[in-house]
Amino acid sequence: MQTTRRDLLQAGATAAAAGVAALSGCRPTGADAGSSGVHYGMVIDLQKCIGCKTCAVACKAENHTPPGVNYMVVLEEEIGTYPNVERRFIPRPCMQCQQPSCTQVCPTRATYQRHDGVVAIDYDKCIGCRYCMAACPYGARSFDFGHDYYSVCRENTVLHEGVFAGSEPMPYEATPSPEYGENRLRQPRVSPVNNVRKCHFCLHRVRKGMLPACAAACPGRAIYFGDLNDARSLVYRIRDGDDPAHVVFPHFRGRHVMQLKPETGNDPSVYYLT
Amino acid sequence: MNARTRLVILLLTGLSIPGLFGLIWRARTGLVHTDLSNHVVWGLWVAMYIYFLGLSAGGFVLSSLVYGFRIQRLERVGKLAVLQAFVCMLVGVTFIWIDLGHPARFIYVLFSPNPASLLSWEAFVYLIYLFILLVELSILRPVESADELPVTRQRLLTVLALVGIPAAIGVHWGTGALFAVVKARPEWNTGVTPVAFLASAAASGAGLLMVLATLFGQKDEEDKATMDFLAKLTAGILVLDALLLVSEALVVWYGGVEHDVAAYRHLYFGPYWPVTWILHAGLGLVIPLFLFMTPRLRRNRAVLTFGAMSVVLGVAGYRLNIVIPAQIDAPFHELVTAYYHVRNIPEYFPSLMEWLVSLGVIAGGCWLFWCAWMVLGHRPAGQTECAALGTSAATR
Repeated sequence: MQTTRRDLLQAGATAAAAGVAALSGCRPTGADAGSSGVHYGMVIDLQKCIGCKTCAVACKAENHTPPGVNYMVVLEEEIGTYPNVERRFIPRPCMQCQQPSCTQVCPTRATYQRHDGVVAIDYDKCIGCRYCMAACPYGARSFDFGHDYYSVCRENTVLHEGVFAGSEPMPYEATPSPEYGENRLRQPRVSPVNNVRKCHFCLHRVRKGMLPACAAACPGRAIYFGDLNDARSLVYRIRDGDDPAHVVFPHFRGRHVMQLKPETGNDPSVYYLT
Repeated sequence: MNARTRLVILLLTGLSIPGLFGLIWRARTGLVHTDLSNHVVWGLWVAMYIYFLGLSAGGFVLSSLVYGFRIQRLERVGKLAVLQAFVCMLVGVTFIWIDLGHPARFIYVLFSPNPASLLSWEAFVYLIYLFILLVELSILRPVESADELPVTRQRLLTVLALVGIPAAIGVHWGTGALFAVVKARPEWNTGVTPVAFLASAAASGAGLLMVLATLFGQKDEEDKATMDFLAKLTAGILVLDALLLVSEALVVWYGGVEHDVAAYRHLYFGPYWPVTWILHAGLGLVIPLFLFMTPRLRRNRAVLTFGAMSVVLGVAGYRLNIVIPAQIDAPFHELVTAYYHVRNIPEYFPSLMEWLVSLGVIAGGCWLFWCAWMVLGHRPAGQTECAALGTSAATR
C-alpha cells in the first residue's frame, strides 16, 4: 500500500495531538479530555440546610486542608429581633464564577478556568502574591501559611531546619492530599504551603464519577451537584425550576433561585434555592 | 575616613543588623510569622512597595524636568533625582518580591504573563523603567551637569527623560490601577485611586529629593533657589492631593452606601485613626503646606528640610491607609464567625518580623544609595575615582 502525503500529514497530526494530550495529562492544567460542553455547578437548597457544617468537615477531611484553610464554610445569619428571630445558614464553597475576578488578575495564569467551568490553581505556578484573594468578592480563597494541626499547641508551627517543629504529624496529615489528583505530601515550604488555595469542586472525585465531598456528606441533601449544561441533570432542572417543563419535584416548584452578589457580574456557578 | 562618614556607617550598620536578622527569619519561615490573614492579605510590605515606587516615580518626573524640559532651577539635583528614582525602585520591587509566598517563582510573571492582569504588565513596565534609569545613570556618571556632556549624549538623555515620563507614570499610575480594578474592595475601586497615587507620589518624591539635597547637595545661593522651587512645587502637588482625597471622601459619605462608608469609617474613626490624622493629615498635608506656603519660613533651610521629611513620612502613612483598612471588612460579615483561626481575624498590625524585614530592606537601600552616590556624585577636578570613594562624603 502506498503512503500518500496526506496520510503522512494525518499520522503526524495524530501523533502531535497524542503528544500534547499526554503532556497536558501530566499536569492539572487545561480541561479534561472530552469535558468540553460540561459546566459543573451546584444548587444549594437553603431551606434544607440545617447548619450542621458536615459539608465543611467533609471538605477538610477530603482535601486534608490545614488550619486556616477552609474551602467550604457555612455562613450563619441571624435575622429579626427577639422573639421573632430566624437563623439562616448559607454554605459557601468557591462560586466557580463564569467571569472570575481571580483568574483575571493572576499575573502568572496559575489560577485559570477549566473548560468545565471549574476555576483551578496550578500550585507549581502560583507565586503566592495573593492578588486573587484581594480580588475575590466572595472571600473564597485562603492562603496556606504553613500551619498544621499537630503542632498548633506549640508556637503556631515554626518551620526550621527543613522539618516541622513540634510533635510528629498525625496519620491523617502524613498522607498525601488527593487534590487535583496530584497526591501531594505536605512538606514545609513546598507547595501548596505558601500558595493560595480554594475549593475545586473535588475534581479528583468528580473524575471518578463521585460527588464532591460536601455534596456527598450533606445529611439534609441540601447540596446538588452536576452539569448545568445538561438538560437531564438535576441541577439544570432545579436551577430552571420556574419553567414548568423542567419541574422534577413539587418541592422545587416556584422556588426562587439566586446567586450571591449578582451585581459583581461574576456569574457564579453556585445557585441558591431560597 | 572622617567623623561624618563614620557616623553614617555606624548608623546604617545599626539598622542593618536587626534588618538582616529579619530577612533571615523571613527566608527560613516564610510568611507564617506575619500578621497577614485571609482577610488582610496585603500588609506593611505592600504598603512599602507602593510607597517606594511613588518615591521613585516622583524623583524621576523631577529629573525629567531637568533633562527633558531643561528647567535650569533643578539642574543641581538632577543626578540626585535619577539616583533616588533608581534606588527607590529597587527597594520597592524588593518589598513586593519578599511579600511573595514563593519568591523564587517571580520569574513566572515574565515568562508566563497573563495579558488580562495589570500586575503582569507592570512587571514589564518596571523592567523598562529600570533600564531607562540605568542608562541615564551611566550617561550622567562622569559629569556634574548635563551641559558638560557631548551633544549626542545630551540628546540621548533628553529622549530617555521624555520616554521615561510615561514609563514612570505607568509605574505608579499602573500600581494605583492594580488596586483600582479590584471591585471586591469598594475603597480601592474608584477612578480617583490611580490619580491620587500619582499626586502623592510626586509630592513624596519631591520631599525626599529635598531631604537628599540637604544631605548630599552643595549649600549655596543656587541651591537655595532649587529648594525654594521644590518647596513651592511640593505645596502645589499637596493641594491637588488633598483635593482628590476630599472629593473622594465626600462622594462616599454623601452616597452613604454601607460597604463604601465602612472602609472610610475604619480610616477616620476606627483603629487606624492615628495613621490618618497624625501621619497622613498632620505630617503629610497640614504641616508641610503651612511651612511651604509661608514665605518667611520657606527661606529657612532647616524648616524646609523638616517640612520635606514631614511629607515623606506622611505619605508613608497614606500608603498604609490605602492598603490596610480597605481589607478589614470581610466580603461577608458572617465569614469572620464561620470558623475560628488566627488567620480568620480581620485585624492587622505588622508583626515584629514585618518591621525587621522592612528595616533591613530600607537599610539596604540606604547602603546602595550611599555607595552609588560615592561613585556618581560630584568630584573635585583632578581627583581620581578610587580616591573619591573614600572622601567624597567629606568633600560634600
